[in-house]
Amino acid sequence: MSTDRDLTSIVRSWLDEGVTVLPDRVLDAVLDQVPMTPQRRARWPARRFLTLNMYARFGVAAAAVVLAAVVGIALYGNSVGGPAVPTHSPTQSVSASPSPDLIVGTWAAPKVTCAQQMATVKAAGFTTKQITRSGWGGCLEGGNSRYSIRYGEPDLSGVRGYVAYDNRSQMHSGHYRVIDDATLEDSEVDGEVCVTVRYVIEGDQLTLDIIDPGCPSAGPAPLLDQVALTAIYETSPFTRRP
Amino acid sequence: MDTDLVVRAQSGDEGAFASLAVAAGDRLHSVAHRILRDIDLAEDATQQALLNIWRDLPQLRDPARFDAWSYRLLVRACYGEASRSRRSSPNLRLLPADEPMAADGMSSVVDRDQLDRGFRRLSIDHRAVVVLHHYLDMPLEGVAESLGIPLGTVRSRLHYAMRGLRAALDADARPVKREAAQ
Repeated sequence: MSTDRDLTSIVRSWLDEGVTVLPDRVLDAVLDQVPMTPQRRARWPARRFLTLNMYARFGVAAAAVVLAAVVGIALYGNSVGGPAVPTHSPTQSVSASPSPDLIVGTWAAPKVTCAQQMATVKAAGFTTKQITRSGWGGCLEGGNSRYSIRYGEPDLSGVRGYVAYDNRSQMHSGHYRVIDDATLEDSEVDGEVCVTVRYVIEGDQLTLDIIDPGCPSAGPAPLLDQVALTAIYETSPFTRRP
Repeated sequence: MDTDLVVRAQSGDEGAFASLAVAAGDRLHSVAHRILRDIDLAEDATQQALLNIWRDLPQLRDPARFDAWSYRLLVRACYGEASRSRRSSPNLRLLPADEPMAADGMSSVVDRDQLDRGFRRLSIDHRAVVVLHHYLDMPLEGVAESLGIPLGTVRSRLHYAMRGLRAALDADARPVKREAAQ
């Protein structure tokens, strides 16, 4: 073997040999199964916040203000001499999650209200204008959601799948990649949405926090996905399901 | 690919999907066969990939990216078929060939056989990169997009795959004594 060019030429010539036509029976088998195969619809409903009536909008805003005030008072109380409250630090997070495979399994969050989700999204830094513009409507689906996520085992090629549910309805699915003991990337099945997530496992509790709305292999996720994933992941910790 | 067909299939139009499947079937099958090197496995992988395409089509945001996206689902189906095959196949070990590589090298039966052996030693990840780049003439950026992996990973996989193929050709070119499998 002399040069890389020779090798490339040999490989290309060798690859050119082989079948190029899909047998009709395979195509027929596919088309026979299509009517019995439901399509997976898009994940979260993209209704406009603007479709809320004035009372509902006022209610959501008021709840967010009340929650923000409660959080602010709690934080202020701590900073002016209250008892020291243990807080999570990155170092603790890493030591609390000694093995990436700990995340494999099903995790469920308690029921969260629309107001809690909205407060979470705002606490993450999204403005009302951004939330409106995103078209996120998950909060409007009856107001209450019970999210769960199933993180799958890696397959032989190392690909790990995940599925997120609201009650029993599948919200979205894709693949996740464990970066280290505290960070993972999850991407939708078409790879267009990928976010970087910090995860902390303490006992049977899983806490998720989106630390980057994109991944090195993809740009920032669309605003709708950023808002919706923030609401799902960050509104409440998850508990491991047996 | 006709994006109008993709959009109609996304909304559940089975006729539009049938047209898509007819149009995409041959190219997907060609790629599956080259990755898996087995006609039966390739047919199964193509069938599964087409069904997965139908199932997940509503989640494809940009219909213009249908081709790249369909390759990703095909490669995933190839993983599945390869792993099923490994579970169901007896554990065979290939023996090195006695024949040295022919002097002219390029098109001999020996070369093809050696390449085939070397290729089968590669993982599906590495095979997919080789096939998409060298068979479909897809630029590396396109391979990265199709497989949903960083460009650097594509380069790395291609490098190691080609090195593996070169090693297979070079190693098999040296006369060796046939050994019995353990």
